[in-house]
Amino acid sequence: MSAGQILAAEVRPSIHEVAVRDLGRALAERLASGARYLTSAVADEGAAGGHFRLDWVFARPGAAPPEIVRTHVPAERPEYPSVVPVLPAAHWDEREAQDLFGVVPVGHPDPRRLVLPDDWPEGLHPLRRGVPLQACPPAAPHPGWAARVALGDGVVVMPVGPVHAGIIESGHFAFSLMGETILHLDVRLFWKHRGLEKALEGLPWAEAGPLLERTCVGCSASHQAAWSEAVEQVAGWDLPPRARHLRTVLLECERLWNHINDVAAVPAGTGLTVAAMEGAALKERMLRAQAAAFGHRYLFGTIRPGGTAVDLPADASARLRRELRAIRAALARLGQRMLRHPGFMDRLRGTGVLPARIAADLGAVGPAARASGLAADLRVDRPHLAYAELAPAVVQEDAGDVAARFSLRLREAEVSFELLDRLLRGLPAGPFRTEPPAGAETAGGLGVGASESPRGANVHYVELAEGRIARYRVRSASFANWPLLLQAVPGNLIGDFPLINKSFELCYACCDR
Amino acid sequence: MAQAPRGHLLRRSLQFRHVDAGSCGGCESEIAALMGPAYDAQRFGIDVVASPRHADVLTVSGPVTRQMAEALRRTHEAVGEPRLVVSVGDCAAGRCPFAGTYAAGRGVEGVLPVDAHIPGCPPSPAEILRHLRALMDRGAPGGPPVAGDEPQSARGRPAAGGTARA
Repeated sequence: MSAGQILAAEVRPSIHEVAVRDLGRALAERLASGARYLTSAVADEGAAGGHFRLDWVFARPGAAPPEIVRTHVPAERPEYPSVVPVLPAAHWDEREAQDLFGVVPVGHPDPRRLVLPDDWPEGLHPLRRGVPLQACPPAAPHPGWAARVALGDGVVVMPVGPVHAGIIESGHFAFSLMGETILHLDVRLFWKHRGLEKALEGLPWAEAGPLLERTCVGCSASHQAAWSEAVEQVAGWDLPPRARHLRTVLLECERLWNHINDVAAVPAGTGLTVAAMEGAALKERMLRAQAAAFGHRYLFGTIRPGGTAVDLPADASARLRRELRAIRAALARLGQRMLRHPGFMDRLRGTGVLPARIAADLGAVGPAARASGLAADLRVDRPHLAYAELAPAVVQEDAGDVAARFSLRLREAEVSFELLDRLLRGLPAGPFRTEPPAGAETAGGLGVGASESPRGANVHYVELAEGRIARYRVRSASFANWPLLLQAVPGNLIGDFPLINKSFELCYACCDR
Repeated sequence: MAQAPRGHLLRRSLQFRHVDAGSCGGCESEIAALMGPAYDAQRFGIDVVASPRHADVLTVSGPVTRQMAEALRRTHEAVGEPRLVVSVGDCAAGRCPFAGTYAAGRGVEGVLPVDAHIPGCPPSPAEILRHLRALMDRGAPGGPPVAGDEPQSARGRPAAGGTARA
């Protein structure tokens, strides 16, 4: 094995148990010392103590394993002081756990339902043990979700969705308008909540793939990679070099088709149809190239624990490399035309500004974070797969507006094209997957897998017991970033909302699961 | 299974409204491609409309989550008669890996009457286009081929019936 390679067994998370009363302080200390919040997860430990387990997971730059701050609350009184005062980025995580487990974050500034449907009865928490996966309680009367709105003479509240006019995913927005100006935006998601995490419980880890890769079409390879990494951690399973490189190829291809999609979506939001159509044609070329190289337009079924599910023979690799070069040149030409179009850029500049301070406090990730000046990119923050050797540049912008998020994606696409060209020049010889190590089928323990999806950090928290999934939490980049969209919108014109939304281009499916 | 598609309901024009009832986004991405330059569904008289009141056909993706059921029903009611319902993708046909959880249903059948299923995970734009054209007079066998018409690979297709356990 080459120097610098991280062995799976060395990166299992470390766990530090604290009493509930010390929780806020323990989290604050972690943050003050430079650790970054990755994810959190509540689990029902049921008969083994009648407790709920609460884990907050942090990462530090470099190769060190994640650190978990853990506490327990008793089943007969499942509450704890909300951590929002010290860790505002966990605000939706706490609301989700309140819905799914009934663990109450006391003092949370927004106690509304986040996940459960309007007609779901009170007091029934689906992820608790003893609640069957197929629970189907009759519709219960419920006051329903109430939007937070601005008040005052002349304020108009305009609700939009969940069914939208275009072909986009389902979600609900409540605009508080004064004329054309948006005073306030509230969002209601989880219309697409499918119960992924409960559906995974009890499955052998090897059977989780078909569900996880369908968490979201745009982040499928990223979900497959994060799942695989978490399982490999628990099983002590190392990847051969060819597998590491192929996984990187798949992740960068996914980044590219998404960035091309987003670069085409922004002009669609301004009415510059020619650019939107040219971008759509490039996205189609990318999807066909992926189908030809890997057997699926959206890379479903390509990554699994132990390596990849598909190989890339030399002739297919050469064809892919040639096609990527052509797409790269076409995208660069299209991007330059758009950046030089004064009417188009006038719409983008100063629109939908996400201030750096808010982005940092609320834990923004991905292009939305980097366009507001934050240096957050898991490809660089933690050496894994082929990224340690490739050392991709972290692209940043400062303005935090639509123009910054747009031009950042063009620049990042360039970085991805370059990475792929290098990777495809010569994949390492050897197997593209390995058999599980002894004991993997009955492995137990906690693993945290993380991948930089096209929208940012995608973190999978995986607890295995006897080789089966005991608890699985997916905290996608979109889950992290949806609340940040709400911060970028007030003060803008309602006609610019589609443009701002498209500049974030967050996944509803990834968030809702 | 709902009644067979009514003959001659759609001749040279098919206007559809789409509802995402809990998909992974894959079907939406492929349907959106129909309106792009590679597939250009509009040259066949197919178009997406902003309101169900303007639609002939309601396309639906996803298993129909509990939370989306009411919105889906109301959108369907708003489509003027005569109307057709087309389920798009394996999830909408009840073959979703999440089918039957506390949050997700078992497809569109049972929520709405379904006139046609378009299988696939996701079905490619060419496959969606072929099925939509088959609902129109001009989509009869022998019509012009559609470019990029390769069926989606079977790789990664979920097993029939999903994985939800009793």
